[in-house]
Amino acid sequence: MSDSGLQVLFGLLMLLVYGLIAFEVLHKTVAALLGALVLIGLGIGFGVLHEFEQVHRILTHDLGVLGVIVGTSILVDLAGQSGLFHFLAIKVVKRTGGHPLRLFLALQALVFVLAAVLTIVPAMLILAGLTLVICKNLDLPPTPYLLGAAFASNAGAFCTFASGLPTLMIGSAAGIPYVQFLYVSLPFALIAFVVGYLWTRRAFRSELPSDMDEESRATLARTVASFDEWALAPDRRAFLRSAVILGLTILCFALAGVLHVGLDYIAMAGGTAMLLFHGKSVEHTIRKVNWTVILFFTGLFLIVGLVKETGLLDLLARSLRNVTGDSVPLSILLFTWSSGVSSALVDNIPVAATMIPLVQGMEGLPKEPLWWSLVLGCNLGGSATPIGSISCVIALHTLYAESGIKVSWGRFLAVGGVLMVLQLALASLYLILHHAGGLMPTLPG
Amino acid sequence: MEPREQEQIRRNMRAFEAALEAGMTGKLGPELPESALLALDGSDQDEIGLDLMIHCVRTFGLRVFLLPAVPSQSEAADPDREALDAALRRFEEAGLEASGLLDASPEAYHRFSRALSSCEADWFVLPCPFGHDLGELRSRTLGTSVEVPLVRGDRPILVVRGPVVSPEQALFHPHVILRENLPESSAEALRLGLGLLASAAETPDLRVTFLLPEESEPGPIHERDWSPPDPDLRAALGPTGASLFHRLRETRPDLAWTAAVRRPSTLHPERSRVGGRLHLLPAPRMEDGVEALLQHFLLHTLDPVLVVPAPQRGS
Repeated sequence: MSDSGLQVLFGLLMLLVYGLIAFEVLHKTVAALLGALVLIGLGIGFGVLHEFEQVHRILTHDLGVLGVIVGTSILVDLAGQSGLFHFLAIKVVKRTGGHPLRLFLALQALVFVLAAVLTIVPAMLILAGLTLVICKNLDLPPTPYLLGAAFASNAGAFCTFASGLPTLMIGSAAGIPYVQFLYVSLPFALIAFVVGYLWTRRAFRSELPSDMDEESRATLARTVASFDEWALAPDRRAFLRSAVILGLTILCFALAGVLHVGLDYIAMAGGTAMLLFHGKSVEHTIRKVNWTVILFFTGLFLIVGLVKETGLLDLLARSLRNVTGDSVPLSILLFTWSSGVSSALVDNIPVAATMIPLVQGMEGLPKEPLWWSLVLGCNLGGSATPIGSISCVIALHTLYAESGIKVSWGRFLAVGGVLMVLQLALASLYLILHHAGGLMPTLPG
Repeated sequence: MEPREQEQIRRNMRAFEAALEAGMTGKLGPELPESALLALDGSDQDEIGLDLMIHCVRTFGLRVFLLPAVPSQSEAADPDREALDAALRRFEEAGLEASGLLDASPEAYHRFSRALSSCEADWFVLPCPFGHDLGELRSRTLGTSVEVPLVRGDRPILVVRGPVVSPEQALFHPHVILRENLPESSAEALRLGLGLLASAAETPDLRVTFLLPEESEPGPIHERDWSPPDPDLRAALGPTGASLFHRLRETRPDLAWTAAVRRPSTLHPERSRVGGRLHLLPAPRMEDGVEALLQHFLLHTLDPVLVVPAPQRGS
């Protein structure tokens, strides 16, 4: 088969796998592994792979990402078992005194921070449970609170290198040092959070109670004050140890460049320290590592790596390069919006995996603005549709399963779709100004 | 969304609900009853109940109301009056006072229902099995006169079973059972246990059993007693147990206490110990008769048992 024929075949098979994932025809891990196996077979059969060891070399590029996922899974699971995050969540909620609007802000701020530290899924699993219990006990409508939290978590997912899986993938591929996230993406994450809060408060203004009499306010305050945060922190020693280990791990992430080690080393060190000092069953904890995600990543990395071997992604990159010319602002717009819109329609992990080789192939342009475009686009795009990000999926599924509330696509798009457009427009402007102002730090090497 | 993620959300919801309920049970300040209504059935248990009440009057000034309800098969001309007079004499001999209540209703449980409605006594003290007319059934049923007040469950009921070694021994060495799924009545039981300890003249001795749900996995925590209880135990408890553990240690850091962890199927009262300890057992709201666990516990112990319902909200 000709090179172009192979490129079309492999490209179509990759799109087929993405389709199977997007429409949930197969479990995403099974779809990715199946796609990888088929493409490896075809790659060997058609001579795309000259030797089987090439498969191992493809995976070697991404071992760092897998190491970070394993290490942080252990870290987050054991810290979660100590009650640390539940404790913080209750503390924050108690500070609101049960006031509905303060609660609206507090829950969004909380999930933003938790997503930044824990990644989206564990943050949303905690917040979804907390939000439903609070709304039930305070007689508040859960939809604004849960959807607001879902949007805020998407903004929190690019605060730091390890805040979200697409961020981690892009950061690893680009070799972005941890501290550069604090200069570039963290400030915009805060802007995106504020925009998201203001927009959702406006969009849900008819559902959020604003005026209430003294008696109702006192009742809400009493109910919220009743939360016993220590009830969920069963062992103070484990609680303190978890807080210290987690804090040190985050600090070491920031100092990774100085320490001359990879983030996977630090994540594994944090996970091992937690296993050593937490006192919980090692077997049980390791079983709880998210192997589904790791196998999904393995399959996905192989698919993208094999498609890249055909030269299709380089070809696409050259085509994009022809479209943008030497214009950095145009490249920023292209990557921010294409990754954002694609992430609204498909899981943002495959989008990031596919776009990374495209950025790598954009020869002659400064890569920094493009990497950041990808980071912001992949994370913010997920707010647009009910299937755009795992946080939205969790929020909508929980609303339906636990409260019987169904949010239509139309209603969701009216809030999330507009928010995505607002946030992507601001993100484009932010990156263009950042680049034009010479504020964007250069990547090492 | 993965099924395990959905399960995790449900687990988080349960945990936050428990944290809220645990907090709603309020502070763990010691609590004591101000008054008690003692039912008399003319049996040996009357003496035991009287001994306990007299000791309570002496120790913390309990006001006692006496309600005779002697079964009609008694040979006495006016069995109620005789039982009441005898009880009042016991109080007089002890230099104390009590008030008598007489009710002409034919059935004992009617008298109890009326008394519970009209009398504001904090505790209700009941001999069990009431009236000694249950024959072989006494090992299988508590009898209507006991079951009706238990099901009604608006205040603690002290069920008097076999003889007690001594009132001090029984009252001031309490065994508090904390049930994971009953945060409010468990907290109330612990408050009452702490109240009794606070009045004890001798060295306080508290035993706590944390009762986990039946589906919890049996493990090393179930196999030994904890003395003194340490954070390893707390870590193995559910939110209600952990919260009460924490608050007990905060409230009484000086208290030496022992603990055990059980599941309902492994909660066995100590049959061989006669009147050794007062058990404080939290009870759920019962609409379809006496809860199986409660009935089993009462039928299998000779110790006095204080059945503690959840306090009425706002009361």
